[in-house]
Amino acid sequence: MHKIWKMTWVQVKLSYRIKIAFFFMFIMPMAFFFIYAGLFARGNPNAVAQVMGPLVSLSVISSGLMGLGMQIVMMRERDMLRRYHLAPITALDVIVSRLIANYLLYLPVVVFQFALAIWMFHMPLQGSLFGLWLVFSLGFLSLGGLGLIVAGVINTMQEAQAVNNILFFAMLFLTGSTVPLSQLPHYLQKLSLFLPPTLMVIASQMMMLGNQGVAQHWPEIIGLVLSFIASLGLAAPLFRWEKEEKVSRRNRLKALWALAPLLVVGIWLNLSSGFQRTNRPLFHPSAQTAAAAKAAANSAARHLLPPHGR
Amino acid sequence: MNATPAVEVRDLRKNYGALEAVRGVSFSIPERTIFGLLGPNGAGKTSIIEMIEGLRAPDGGQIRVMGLDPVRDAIRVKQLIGAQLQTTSLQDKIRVEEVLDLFGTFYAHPMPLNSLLDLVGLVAKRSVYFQYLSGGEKQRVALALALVGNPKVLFLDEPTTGLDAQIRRELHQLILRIRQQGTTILLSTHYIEEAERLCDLVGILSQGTLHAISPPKELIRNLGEGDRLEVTLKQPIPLQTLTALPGVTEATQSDGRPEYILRGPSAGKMLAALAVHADRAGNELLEAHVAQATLEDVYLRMTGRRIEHA
Repeated sequence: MHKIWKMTWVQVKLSYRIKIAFFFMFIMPMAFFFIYAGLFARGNPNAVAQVMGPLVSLSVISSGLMGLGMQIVMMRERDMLRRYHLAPITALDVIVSRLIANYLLYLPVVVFQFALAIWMFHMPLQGSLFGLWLVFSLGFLSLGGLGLIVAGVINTMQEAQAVNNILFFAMLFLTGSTVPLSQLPHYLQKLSLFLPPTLMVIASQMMMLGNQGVAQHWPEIIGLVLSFIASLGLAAPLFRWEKEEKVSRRNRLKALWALAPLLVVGIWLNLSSGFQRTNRPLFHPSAQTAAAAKAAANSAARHLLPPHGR
Repeated sequence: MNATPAVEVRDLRKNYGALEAVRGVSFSIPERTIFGLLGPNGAGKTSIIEMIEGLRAPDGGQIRVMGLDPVRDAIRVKQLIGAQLQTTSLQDKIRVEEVLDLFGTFYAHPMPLNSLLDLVGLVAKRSVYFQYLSGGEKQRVALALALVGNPKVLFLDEPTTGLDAQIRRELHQLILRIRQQGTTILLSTHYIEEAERLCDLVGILSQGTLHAISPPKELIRNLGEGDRLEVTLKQPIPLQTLTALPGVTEATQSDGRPEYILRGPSAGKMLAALAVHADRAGNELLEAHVAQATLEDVYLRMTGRRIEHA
């Protein structure tokens, strides 16, 4: 484990030394924070609470899916991985250290965004903090694993950029990260349940708006856990150290197994009436309005009414 | 002394498409020996070294490093070996001491950082980013990475290519010091003088085929070349006349000009015989240069080609 922590620590240090990495790690997420909270939510505390889940999902998609995968492809293309290949470390050592490093870079930004939302926009922080941390963490790890699988089956940076952009924009618009789920046509709402960021958006939004916890959103958490395990389990065997080592068709087909848990979870959630009932406010505009009003009322009541015993 | 060779290669083969890059190469390297693979670019040196290191899978044959298979027992072999690649790419913003410290954590018994920096002469550069090092300094870092694990077997792939004569000499001294510490070294090079100066055993490699393996002096002696006398005469003289002179075993001429290369056991004897003949024939010896046979002559004789210098 010592070598994994060492690789993680070095990677974290290097990220802070590279200006462009700092831009994508910090500046861009903060820019999106002000766009989402300041413009979309217009600074309204409850509206801000509503957009925080999608905002974090956006960070997860860009740093987890795109950032991590592109880093590996870039290192392979520049023959940097080759030097590590000569050392007595495994592909899993490299993957785990990269995942942890990117997670340690991503998490403080999310915490900072939440702190800023509370301080600047007086966002109410309802729901289970542990649940929010769990959902955001699993979401990151799940998307990171998918990014590593893409890196394993892609040969060049150009290919990686093309594939990642397709996945990025698909997830951006189909998961509630930008366009609210309630605004999507019914068939796209069903499709969205097959994508990991949707599970993260649903769970985090309902936790914050509905003051809910892990118990009410165990299906999403299970889905994210399964997605992470499958993607990590495939990322190691698909990992390539050398740029000359081309991807076999067999390995590309093997990568599709990462979709298996997403298919299972997506079908299950689409058929689960309990899940539909619990998360109805996110899929139906009228129910969303009612839920938002209820959340606003609860929040106002907690602030204005005197506490018992005074 | 342990009879098991440090490296054993039997009937090694490697193809890149239709190209047979390595054709049934066999050799073994005793412990505490510097073994040189001498050949031009494209001879197959790097392919052989990379297969022994475990970076590439062979298409045929058997390899053992300290009795272990570098493909099946990759991690165990990598604990025992160190390797310097032809070119080493690392992250631009990583410091020298950071990368050596990081790689040190991969090994069970790493060399202390300060000793390593001192050995390769990088103490003054320990805090410098990799991108700001000169070519020679980057080679020293690459060598340090190869030594960080206290390897039993060290692989050096063209370690002094592109370096000036002074730095090359310094690296040669370093390599000899490393061998004195008990490390077995496999070195690939296309520099004749490097092979002659450093290697206990030299393998002559051309177009994937190993032509001979012996100590350099033995290879030269077995060639029967003896001395080489390069002369310029005022008037041309038939080659048959020259080969008939006492002490001359072979004579070649440069492009129709009266410049000749004579070979025989004794340069002095050939020179005396030529001088007498020239005087009697009314000819004049304008220039004479004596040289002993080198590995280049051995290479030319065995392969029919000259080694091209990079």
